[in-house]
Amino acid sequence: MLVPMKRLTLIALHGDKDGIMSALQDISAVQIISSKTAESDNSSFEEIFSGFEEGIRRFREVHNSIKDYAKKPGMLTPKREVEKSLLGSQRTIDKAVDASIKIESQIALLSELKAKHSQVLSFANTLKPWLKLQQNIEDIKSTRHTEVFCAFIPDNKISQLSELPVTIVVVDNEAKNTPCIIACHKSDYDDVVVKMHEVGAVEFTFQKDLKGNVIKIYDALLSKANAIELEIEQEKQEFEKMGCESDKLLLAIDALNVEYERQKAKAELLVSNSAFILDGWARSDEVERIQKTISEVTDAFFIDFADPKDDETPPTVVKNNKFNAPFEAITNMFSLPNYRGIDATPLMAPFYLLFFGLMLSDSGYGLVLYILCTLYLKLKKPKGTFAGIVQVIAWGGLVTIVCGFLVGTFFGLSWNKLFFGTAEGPFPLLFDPLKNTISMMLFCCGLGVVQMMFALGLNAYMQVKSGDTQAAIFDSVSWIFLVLGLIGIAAVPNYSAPFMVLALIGGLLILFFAGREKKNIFGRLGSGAGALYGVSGYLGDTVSYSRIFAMGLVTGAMGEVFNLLGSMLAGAGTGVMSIFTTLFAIVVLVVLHGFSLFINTLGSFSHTARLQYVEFFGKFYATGGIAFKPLGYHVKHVDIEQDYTNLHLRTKNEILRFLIKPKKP
Amino acid sequence: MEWGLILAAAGAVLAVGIAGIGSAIGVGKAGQAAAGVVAEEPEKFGSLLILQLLPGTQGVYGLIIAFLILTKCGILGGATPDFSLGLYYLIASLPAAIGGFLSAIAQANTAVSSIALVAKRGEGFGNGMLLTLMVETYALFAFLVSLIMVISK
Repeated sequence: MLVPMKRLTLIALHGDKDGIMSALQDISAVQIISSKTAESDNSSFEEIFSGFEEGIRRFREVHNSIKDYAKKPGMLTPKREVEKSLLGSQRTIDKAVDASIKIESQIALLSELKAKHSQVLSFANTLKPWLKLQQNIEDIKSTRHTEVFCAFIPDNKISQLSELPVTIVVVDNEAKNTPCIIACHKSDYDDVVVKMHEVGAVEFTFQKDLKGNVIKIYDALLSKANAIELEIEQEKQEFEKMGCESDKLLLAIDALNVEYERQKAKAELLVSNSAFILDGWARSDEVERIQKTISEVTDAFFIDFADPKDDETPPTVVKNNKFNAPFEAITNMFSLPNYRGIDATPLMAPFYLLFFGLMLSDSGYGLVLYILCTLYLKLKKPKGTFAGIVQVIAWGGLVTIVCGFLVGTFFGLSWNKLFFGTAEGPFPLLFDPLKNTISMMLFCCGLGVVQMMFALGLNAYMQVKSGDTQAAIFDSVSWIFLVLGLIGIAAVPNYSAPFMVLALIGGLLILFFAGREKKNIFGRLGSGAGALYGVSGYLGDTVSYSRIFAMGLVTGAMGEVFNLLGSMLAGAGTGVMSIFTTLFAIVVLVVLHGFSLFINTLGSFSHTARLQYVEFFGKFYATGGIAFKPLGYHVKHVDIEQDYTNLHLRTKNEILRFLIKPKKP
Repeated sequence: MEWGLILAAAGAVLAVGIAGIGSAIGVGKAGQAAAGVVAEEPEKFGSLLILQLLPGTQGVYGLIIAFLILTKCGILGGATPDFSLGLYYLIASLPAAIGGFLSAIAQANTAVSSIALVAKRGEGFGNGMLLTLMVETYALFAFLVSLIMVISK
């Protein structure tokens, strides 16, 4: 059912702005409409906004650096529930800031250590070519008349340099760029340097204060690097201890987002020097609640709830009972209903379950599906769209069990064999789709015709409701007559006269009145004939329902083939081996049937959805609704506890009753 | 060896082989696209895996047809078919083989685009899955015809 909406206008004093906005966010009942003129002084908000964005970004970054160390929530663990007040409290943010400072300083410490580590290592690397140097480093020094220095000389160029008046001592003759010690007279030094440049030799100088044996220095550096590495590992373990801060950070991110949303909403308001105007949408059944909430904050306010005007598009809110509500997830995947249309969810739900059951059509699969989905809902407690889908599949599982009786299969086996041990028996209650192929296909298409006629009827109802009786008769009822008439002629050829009349009436209505907006008689007949061509669309839609039958066959055939494989495996061994082959066959069967269940559930779910979207909704459903997004608590990482201390929701009497209610032992 | 048996076996080979090639190409394509997204957003792995798997069903349909032919032509059961029946099985395997091959590739293209959609907007998964499954319809119909042809003889 669609909930009627009201356009809300609230005028109140500046001083109460924060209080009112907090209270409204608390009850999550008003979607604020941005007042365009507020753009002018948005600059004062920009600073606040960027502050929030900066804070959220910081917490997120810090969280990213420790999230690998945080305790992973199990597959079935529900989200943490927190009290609403925790999201609004400064302590939440303070705690997260403390944690961030701690983690950030740890990150800084680590990167400092890492820099140190790589510095030591790269220094050690520069010494590596000189490991075979016998002398102490400080002994390589020039004297009064000779220049002594180190250099790397390309190994094939040493002979060229030797032609000069120099002495070259090769330190390590295995390296390509040979490390050498070169000695020459001071007067020749310049010539030697020029020649060295020519052959591509590079001079090398040890660090000034370096003394002693190169190998010893090198080893000392390596052990220093190892020590730093150990330290890094130890500091990394500190991160593991910080994993527990993850919850605080996530909560703070949510808290900041809640606060940010309210600040953004505030920026949308129209303000004067002393007052502000709030313009928004609210559900008509929450009018009193909103009034009460605001009157608890202040008594200086004016509020007005008006019906939406014709040129306004209010957001869509649907309300359904406990059985139909999960199906909203399926409808919304297509489109929210138009505010001025109808909520198709309750009309679609029974068809959805029936088609789903017929597509999966295996009692064993249905049973497994029901148990798994129900357990998941109980343990994980998912929310929103996903919860709806899981609930729909769980009920689909129940219907599948029944449909399994209709076609007589249980995990690809025949019910008869399981119950009576014979191939013949009371099952299937309806048809065996592998034997009575055509009957099953006609049955499925027949169900489709029922659904399509229902859709046309709904369309007629809506047209009458909106005052267009002509459209109801000429565009909807005429088609019901024509399609039912044609089917009747085909189905009961011996008694076709009344159906012919029915089809004729429908056809003539369409021929003469489909183009009723045209004045010219020929133009009118032309568009009528064009509309009649739409009968091919109905034929296509009807055939499309044969997918119910096809999906059922896929499940049946897959199960049967897998069972055959299993029995072949089990029978492959003889004697003692047969125990192993049987065990192996059981494992293989569980895996294969698991796969089949997954694939076929996915297929059944979406092919059923398609039938609703294209063949059913296509005939009457008005799409294009806008989602209702009230100012509220939109949290990602936690769930909000059902809050019994929320004073805004209750009259004083209710609060009293709550307080004096004896607590459970 | 009997010509009928050879033709029937060829039918089984085509059904599982051609449809399987299509599915392999399709699942591979979609997998490449999905891996790129998972590199950035590992939490989307679950939904992307489902999208990747969708072009894989054609191979399973082919397998079922192949298996049913094998159970009927004397390899896993049944009697060796004569020439015309063998030819019949060969023809019966063609819808699942060719329809499966082409639809798996077409479906993979849609799957890749849907994966891009999920990468941009995680909540678009439902829509992406439905768009991809629209292609599946034709694989399903092709399989249906093959199946009816094989089990009716």
